[in-house]
Amino acid sequence: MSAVAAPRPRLGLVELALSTDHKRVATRLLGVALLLFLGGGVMALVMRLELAQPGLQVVSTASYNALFTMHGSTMIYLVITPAALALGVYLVPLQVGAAEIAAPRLALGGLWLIVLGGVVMESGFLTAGGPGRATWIGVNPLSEMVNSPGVGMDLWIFGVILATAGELALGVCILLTALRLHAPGMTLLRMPVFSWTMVATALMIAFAFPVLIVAMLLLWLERQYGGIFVGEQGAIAYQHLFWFYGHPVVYVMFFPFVGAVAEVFATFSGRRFFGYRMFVGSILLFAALSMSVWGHHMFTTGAVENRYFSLTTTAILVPAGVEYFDLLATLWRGRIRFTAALLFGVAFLLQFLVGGLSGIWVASPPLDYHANNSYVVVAHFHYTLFAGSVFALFAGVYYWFPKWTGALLREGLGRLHLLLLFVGTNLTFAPQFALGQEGMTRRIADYPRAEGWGTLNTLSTVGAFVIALGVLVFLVNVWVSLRAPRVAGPDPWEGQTLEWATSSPPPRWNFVEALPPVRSYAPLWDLRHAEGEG
Amino acid sequence: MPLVVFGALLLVLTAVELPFGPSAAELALLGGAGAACVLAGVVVLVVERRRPPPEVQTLPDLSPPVVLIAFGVSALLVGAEAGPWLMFLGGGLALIGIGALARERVAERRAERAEGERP
Repeated sequence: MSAVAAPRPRLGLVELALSTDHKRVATRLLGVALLLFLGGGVMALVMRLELAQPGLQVVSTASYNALFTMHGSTMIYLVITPAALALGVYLVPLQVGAAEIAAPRLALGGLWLIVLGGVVMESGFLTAGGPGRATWIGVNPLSEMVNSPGVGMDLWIFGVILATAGELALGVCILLTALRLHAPGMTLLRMPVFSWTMVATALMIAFAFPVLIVAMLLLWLERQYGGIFVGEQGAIAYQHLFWFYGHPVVYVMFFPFVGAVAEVFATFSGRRFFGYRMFVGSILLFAALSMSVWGHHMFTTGAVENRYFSLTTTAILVPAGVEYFDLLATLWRGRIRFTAALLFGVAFLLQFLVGGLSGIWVASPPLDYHANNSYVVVAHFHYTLFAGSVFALFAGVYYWFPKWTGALLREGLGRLHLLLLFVGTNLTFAPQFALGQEGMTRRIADYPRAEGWGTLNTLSTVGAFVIALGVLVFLVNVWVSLRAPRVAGPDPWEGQTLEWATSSPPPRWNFVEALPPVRSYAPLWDLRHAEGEG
Repeated sequence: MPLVVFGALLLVLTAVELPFGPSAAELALLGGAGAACVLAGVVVLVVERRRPPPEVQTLPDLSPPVVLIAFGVSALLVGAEAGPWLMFLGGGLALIGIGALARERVAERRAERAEGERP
C-alpha cells in the first residue's frame, strides 16, 4: 500500500489515437464501449416508454423496428463483446507477466476497426431511410433489398463487418499473448483463471467470427445482385452462417466475466480459487460445446437435426455446473470481505442462474416451439447478458479500477449502484417471463388493450428507468473517484495474481521490478503465505 | 496446445453428430472449424519452437500507419456503397499505411539487432 505510482502525463489527442500500449488500447476500447452502452441504453428506454401502455404514443412502428435492431446490434457488436475484450487486452499480459501484448499493432488496428464499425453502423440514423431494421441478426429475407430498402441496412452490414474484424484482431492478440509471452515459470497450468477464460473466449472468436464476416459479405452481395440466399434454402443457409457466430458470441460475452468473478471471489474470500484444473478443463469443453449448439436457434425451422442440437445444448449443463460449483466452493468457509465487487459477483451468480435455467428450458425443442419468438426469450437472454454479464462486468470494474487508474471507487456509491441495478433489473425482466408465457410476442411496438398486458409492461418500464438511475450513480462514482482520488497503491485488495505485483497504473512495460516466483496460478497468494509461514 | 485440444474437441463433437444424419452445412461448419483449429495449433507449436518471442522491447510508442490502414480499409468498404471516389481514397490511404508500416517494421528490426549486439 505504500508505493504510489507517479502521476502519468496527460495524453494529447495524437497519443490517444495512436498509442500501441495495450493498456491504453484497452482503456480507449472500454471508454468507447461505455459511451455506446449509454446510447444503446437510451434506445432501450425509448422502447420501454413505447411499450408501457397499449397504443402508439412515442414512436412509429418503423422507428420501433429500427430501435430494437440498433439496440441489440449496439449492445452485442459494440458494447459487451468489446468490453469483454478490453478486460483481456488490459489484463492478460499483466497476469502472465508479459511486458506487452502479442502483436500490439494488430491490437491498435482492432480498436480502430471497432470504433469505425460503430461510426458506420450508427451513421445509419443520419440517412433518409433510417438505420438497419432487420433485427440484430439481419434475418434473411427481411434484410434483402426489397424488404429493407435504403442505405441504412448496408451501413449496418459494413458496421458489423468492421467491428467483427476488429474483435477478431483483438482475440488473436489475446490468444497469442497467453500462449507465447509467459513470464518464467508461468506454464499454461499456472495461468490465472481469468486468463484461461480469455483463452477460451479467444478460441471461439478465432474460429466463429470469420464466418460472420463471410455471412455479411454474402448478405451485401445478395442485396446488390441477388442470387446468393435464394428461396427457403437460402434463408436456412444464412441462418446457419449467422448462428454459427451467433451462439458462440453469447459465451464470448460471458466467459471473461465469469473469469472476473472467479478472481473477485478468490481475492475477497482470502482463498485460492477452488478446483482450478477442473475449471480449466470445463471452460475448454464449455467453449467447444458452445460452438456445436447453434442449431437450437433454428429448432422451429424444421431444417436442422433437433435431437443433436438439443443434446449438445443440454450437455452445456455439465461444464456450467462445474463452474458454478467451483465459484461457490471458493466462497465456502472463506474470510469473506463484502466489497462492492464481491456483492456484484454474488448478484451475477444468482441472476445468471435464472438466465441459465431458462436457457435449459428452451433447449428442449417442444418447449422451444412454445416459447419461440415470445417475450420469454427476451427475458431469458436479458437475464444472461444483462443480469449476468453486465453485473459481472461491474464486479470486474470495481475490482480492477484501482489497478487501471490508481484510485479506488467509492464503496458506498458502489453499493447504491448495485441496489438500484439489482431492483431495476429484476423489475424489468422478470415480468417479461410472464408476458411471454401469456403470449406477448417480441419485436412489436404495440399490443391489444384487451390482452391485459399493460400492468406488467408498465412495471417493466419503471424497472428500466431504475436501471438508468443505477448507471447514473455509477457514472457519478467514477467521476467523484477520479476527481478526488483515494490512492489505491499497487495491491489494495491483497490480490493473488501478477497484475497486483506492479504499480497502479502499471508502467509502460508493465513490470519494473523482478517478478515474484510463479509456482501456481496464485503467485502472490503463495508469496504471502510463504512469508506468513516463514 | 490449447488450440490442438480445442480443435480435437470440435472434431469429436462433429463425429458425435454423424449418427444423427446432419446436413452438409452443419458438418462443414463444425468440422471445418475443428480442422482449422488443429492446423492453427500445429502452426503455433512449430513457430514457437523456431522463433522464441523477442526479449528486447523496440516497439514504437505510436504507430500512425496502423490507424491509416484501419481508416483506409473502412473507407474502401463503405465506398462500395458511397461510390468509387471513396474506394479510391480508402485504397490510397491503405496503401500509404502499408508502406509506412513496412518502414516502421524495418526500423524496428534494425533497433532489435542493435540492442541484441550491445554487450
